[in-house]
Amino acid sequence: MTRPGAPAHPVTWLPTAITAFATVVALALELAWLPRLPAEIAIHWSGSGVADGSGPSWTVPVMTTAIGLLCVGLTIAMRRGVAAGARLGSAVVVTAAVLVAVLAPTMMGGQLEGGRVDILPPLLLGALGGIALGALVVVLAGRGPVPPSRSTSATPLPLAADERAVWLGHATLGRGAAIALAVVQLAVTALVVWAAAQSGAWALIAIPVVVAVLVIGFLEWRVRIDRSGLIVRPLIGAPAFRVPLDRVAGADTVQVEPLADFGGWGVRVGATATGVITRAGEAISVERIGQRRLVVTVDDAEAAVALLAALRAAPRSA
Amino acid sequence: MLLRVDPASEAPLFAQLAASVRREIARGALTAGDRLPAARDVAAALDVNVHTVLRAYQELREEGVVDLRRGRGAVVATGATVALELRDAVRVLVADARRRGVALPTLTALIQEEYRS
Repeated sequence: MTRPGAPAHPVTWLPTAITAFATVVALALELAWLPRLPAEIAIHWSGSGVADGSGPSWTVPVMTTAIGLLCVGLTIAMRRGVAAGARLGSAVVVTAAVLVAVLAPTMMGGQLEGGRVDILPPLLLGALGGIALGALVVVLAGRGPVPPSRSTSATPLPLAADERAVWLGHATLGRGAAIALAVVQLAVTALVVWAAAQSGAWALIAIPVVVAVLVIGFLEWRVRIDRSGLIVRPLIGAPAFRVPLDRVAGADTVQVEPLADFGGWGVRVGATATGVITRAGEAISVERIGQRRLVVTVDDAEAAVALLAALRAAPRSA
Repeated sequence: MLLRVDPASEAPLFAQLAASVRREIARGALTAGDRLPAARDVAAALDVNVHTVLRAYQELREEGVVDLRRGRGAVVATGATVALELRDAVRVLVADARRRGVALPTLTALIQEEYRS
């Protein structure tokens, strides 16, 4: 078993450092200004930049802290990622954290002693600064050692000359991810039903229904390895990943960290690997000729890889 | 789960398939409640007759290894993992036999004799 993650590298701490620093500076400014602000301040602006909503001023530092902690946590979770997906993910998180860190204190500062604030300049400044630092992260962070190329290191399953074998498995969403999905799904459904009831546009309900069908359809993937190669198919049947035996360049078992290696769960397309990622842990990693590696989280990955190696070593009658 | 059949072997295909399932349960790749794949899928993947697969499942059902339920297919039975508990004892026994230079046919004969007494 090998872990695709790179060892700790100074630059991999860059996203976390930027995020934490921006949050601490923003929070310090906000706390310093809090006593000089009225209890209620403008906290929401319309599309044209005119303030259209207000709230208690203490919510700003609370939100800054919450968003900052979330962003720092995400950058730490993605730290070990070597896939481009994790690098891009860290960059997006840094961009968001910097935007909030610029926006929240300037919004407060502008309202000191009852002044009015125009939200557009800090919004622009925050976005530009965030994107610039995000770009820096894409270029610098995660430039750790390249993951080792994984040729077939598995011992091929001993097969007799005429013996036929099939390996069947499944990639099933982990319990935590399934619960999170169900909660989001319920929340979205409730929101849409409420919106539909308000507006009378009942056709809107089709949206959560379609989403639910897709979510249920992708909860489980069936994986089969036999003399025709590898096939990974979701419960609803399509889209399936098929890798014919003669397109398999190698296979190995790997340990997957969904957020770090693939930036999340589900069907993940990265620069170096495509993943069907349903949970952390054991997975098969199949090197494809002329295509990205295909990584699928399955139990009993060792047996799957051993069979794939055996079938590849002895390409007999189809 | 890994299923394998060798047409060159003397054992009938259905018996080889049943043995495959038993082996997967013994090594923990299949546990109680797991569903066996649909017979026609196994038949297609291994290029054997569907009735061969069904006969293997039937044999496993008679042994109490799987439950056959209409609509749900073959499900590994709750009692099936008992074999797993014997595995460690078997491992010790085989290691002991190897150390003493006892060949497999002799060991098998000893087990059969003990089982029938």
